[in-house]
Amino acid sequence: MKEPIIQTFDLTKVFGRTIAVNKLNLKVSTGIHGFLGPNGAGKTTTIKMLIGSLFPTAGRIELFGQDVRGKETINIHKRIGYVPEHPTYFMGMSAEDLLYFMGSIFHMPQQEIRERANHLLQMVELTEAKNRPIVKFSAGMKQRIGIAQALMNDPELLILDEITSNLDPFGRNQMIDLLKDLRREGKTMLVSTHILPEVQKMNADSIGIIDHGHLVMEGTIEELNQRIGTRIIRISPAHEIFREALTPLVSKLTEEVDTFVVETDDKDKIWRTIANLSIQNNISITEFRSAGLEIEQIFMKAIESEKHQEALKLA
Amino acid sequence: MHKTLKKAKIPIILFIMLFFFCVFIQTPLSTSNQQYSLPNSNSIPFQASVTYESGNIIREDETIVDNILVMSSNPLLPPTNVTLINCTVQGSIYVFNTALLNILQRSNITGNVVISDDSKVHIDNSTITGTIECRDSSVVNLSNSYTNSTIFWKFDSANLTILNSNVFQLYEFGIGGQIQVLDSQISQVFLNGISSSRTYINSSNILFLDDSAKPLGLITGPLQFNFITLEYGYSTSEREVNLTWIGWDSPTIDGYLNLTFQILVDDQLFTEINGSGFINQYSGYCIVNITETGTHNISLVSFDGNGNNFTSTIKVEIIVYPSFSWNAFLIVVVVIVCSILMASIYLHNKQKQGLHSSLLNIFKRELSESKIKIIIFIALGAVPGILLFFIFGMINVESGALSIDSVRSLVSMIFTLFLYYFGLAFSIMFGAGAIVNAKKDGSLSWFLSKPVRRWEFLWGKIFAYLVIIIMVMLSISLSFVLGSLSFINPIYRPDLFSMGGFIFLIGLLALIPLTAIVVLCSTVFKKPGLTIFIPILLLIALPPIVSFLPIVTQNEYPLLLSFTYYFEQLGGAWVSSGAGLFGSIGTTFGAAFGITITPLSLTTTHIILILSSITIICFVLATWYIQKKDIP
Repeated sequence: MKEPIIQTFDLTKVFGRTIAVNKLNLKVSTGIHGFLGPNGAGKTTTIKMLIGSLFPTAGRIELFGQDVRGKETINIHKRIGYVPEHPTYFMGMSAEDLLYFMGSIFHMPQQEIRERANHLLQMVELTEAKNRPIVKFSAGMKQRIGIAQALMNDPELLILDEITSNLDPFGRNQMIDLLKDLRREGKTMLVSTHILPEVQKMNADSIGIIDHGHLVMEGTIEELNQRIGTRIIRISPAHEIFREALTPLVSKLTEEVDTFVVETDDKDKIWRTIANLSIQNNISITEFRSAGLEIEQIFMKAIESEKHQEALKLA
Repeated sequence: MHKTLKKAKIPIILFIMLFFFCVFIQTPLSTSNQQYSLPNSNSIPFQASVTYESGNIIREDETIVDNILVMSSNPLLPPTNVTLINCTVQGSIYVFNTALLNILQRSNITGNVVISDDSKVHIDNSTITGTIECRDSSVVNLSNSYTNSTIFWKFDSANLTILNSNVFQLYEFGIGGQIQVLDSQISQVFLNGISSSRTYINSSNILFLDDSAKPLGLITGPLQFNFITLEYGYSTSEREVNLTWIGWDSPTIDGYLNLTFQILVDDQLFTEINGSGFINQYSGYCIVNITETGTHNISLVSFDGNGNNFTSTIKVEIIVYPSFSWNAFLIVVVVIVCSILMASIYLHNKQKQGLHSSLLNIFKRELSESKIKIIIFIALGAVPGILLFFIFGMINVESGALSIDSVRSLVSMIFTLFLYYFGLAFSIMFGAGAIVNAKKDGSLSWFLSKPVRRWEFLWGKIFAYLVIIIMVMLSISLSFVLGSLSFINPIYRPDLFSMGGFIFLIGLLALIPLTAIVVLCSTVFKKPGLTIFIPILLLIALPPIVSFLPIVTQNEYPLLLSFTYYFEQLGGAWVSSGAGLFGSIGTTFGAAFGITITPLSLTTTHIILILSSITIICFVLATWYIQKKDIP
């Protein structure tokens, strides 16, 4: 397994009497990592600790294998890009000036700054508006210049906090395509969001689910499916005999066009039951397809999982 | 009713304060007035019991217990002539209707003598214990008489001669006639009549002379001269003291008196001027140049041809305007520039080695982002100078070239007042939002994800503000100097440039600590409103409140809480001695209520140290806070 780019060790943040992040152990390797959680789960607090704006109450953070509060903080920050949820850059600046300023902050040579800024403005489709003050940009444009400023130093790690929350569907799709392109360039991205289908659209390589400061689950979608165990099985034809037999065995049964869609933790038992019934009643099975849960379903399962609820109670 | 009382509370308090103030002001005045006025109602009532109405009467070696009335009842007959030789009269004597009275040879009158209606009284070698009152056109001659209690009153056009005598008091209320005093001693002389009632004093010893004779303010008594200067007062920083005086001579000499005036500075003869006059009024003008600082006595001594002299002395404080040490200033500037150059070279070398600092980038960005604000503040800084240009222009037309004092007092007033509001606007516009706005909108936490150290973000801004303060103060001090330059007497130009230097320095000493305080608040507070409130509190709300506390504490220590106190004091030391809008309120009001307030003895060095300490403490605390605390 590759060396994790982000790794936290029992990361904890307490504000007064509120535990915002509770012993979070997060591991992010290359690709897109969806950092999911409901509002107030502790996503932004975690991200602010990653970028160094908040100090952990307890625990430790390593980026690229180095402690973020050590001597290498500045060098670590040279390798990351961050796009906040609410874009509040130096609003009086034009898009081009902001990128030039970012280039100077990273102490890039002037020639490189110019080339990189032009490239990024083209990439985020803001070349036409490069001289306009950012304050006059639309929400979508602000997010795009946010991506551009975060990419100015060609970072290895991009930390994106709810970047699509203020965008219209068209803007969201554009943003998702942009992230996919960046993945192809080899960037690692921590994408914090509570809009779950987007993570699916991004084909996130892994996801971490956080709730009340706890990391509920973490891994690839397949790993999470395996951990949850619940499968969706489509069975055709939708014969009444099958309904009678399946109803006590599954957690959920819905009927679509001549197809039963069931949710179960024991795929083999369902298969055995359906196979026996089809032989006994001479029913020809046209479809028996098992699939993992959708990301939204995984999220809900994770949040509602008994283990997690118990942990919350203990906390 | 309650509401009405509540509404009227402030006017009532003000009224009570005004009442006590008036009482306080009036009390000493009324006391002092008493000794100068002798109303006619004090005249002695008529109480005669022995009457001489005609003929020549001589009484010798007798003791008369009763009052005596001497009068000429028949105007066709010679006047009644009474002579008392070695007599003792226990009552009073009244002399009326052109009568004559001679009191001679060790006579002793224990009562009063009242003379009127063209009567004549000759007193020789006798004593009058009571009062001698002369009215109408009566004539009184007093010679060789010695009593310590005799009081003379002269009314109307009476004529009085005092020769080789000793009198306690002489009051003059006449409209004509004259008093002649020769070789005598009078303890107190009060001249209250009009100028046609003349008083001649020669070779006599007058212990106290008060001349309130009309026209008021012009007659200052025989050979007494007062200084009347055209300047604001005798306490001056000017090297030139303009003396103008008006005096009235002794009317014993009818016509022009050959007077000589000597101007002495610290008892050393400065110059001698021959008197010039009109009738018996003498005036003169002299410019006294004093180069040494400190308090000096300037005396005007007037001599007449008979050797009489009268000296009037004033104290003049020469405060040579403190000269701004441009050499030290240039050395400091060179040191700072060299330090910056060396730091830049050091950082450049470090950058080559891979160690980067974003301090310079943040500093440049802050300056570039504040371009418009800087231009506005530099333009605002020039406003007082433009204002002064027009004011001094108008004064110049009226009074000619201005002296440094004329410039200083106005400059000090405008500068101090300007600094209050300018400091307030400046700290709100620059320091107040420095960190708190960036924290509030999240841009600081975003910016900290870059390779930027927290202290670099803070100090990049602080350095930018320091440069802005320097630029703005240069504009302000230059505007003050240029606004006054065309109208000032050229001899004071070095002083004017010194004043500009001090204005620059005071501005730095006011704005830098204020910015430091506001930057600290901006770093610590979470809401911009609170940060804006701090300069308002420091510059507007607190100084007037604190300025009254010395009345309670009876010392000026509470003034240390007033931020403006410091730059008022610096202004007082360096620009004009009259500076101090709030610093002196407590002392003034305390004095009004008889409260003595122990003053603070802070030197400019103390103030600079205090302000520097405030600056350093605030910047250190702000740095510590931003380094150690969460940025939400």
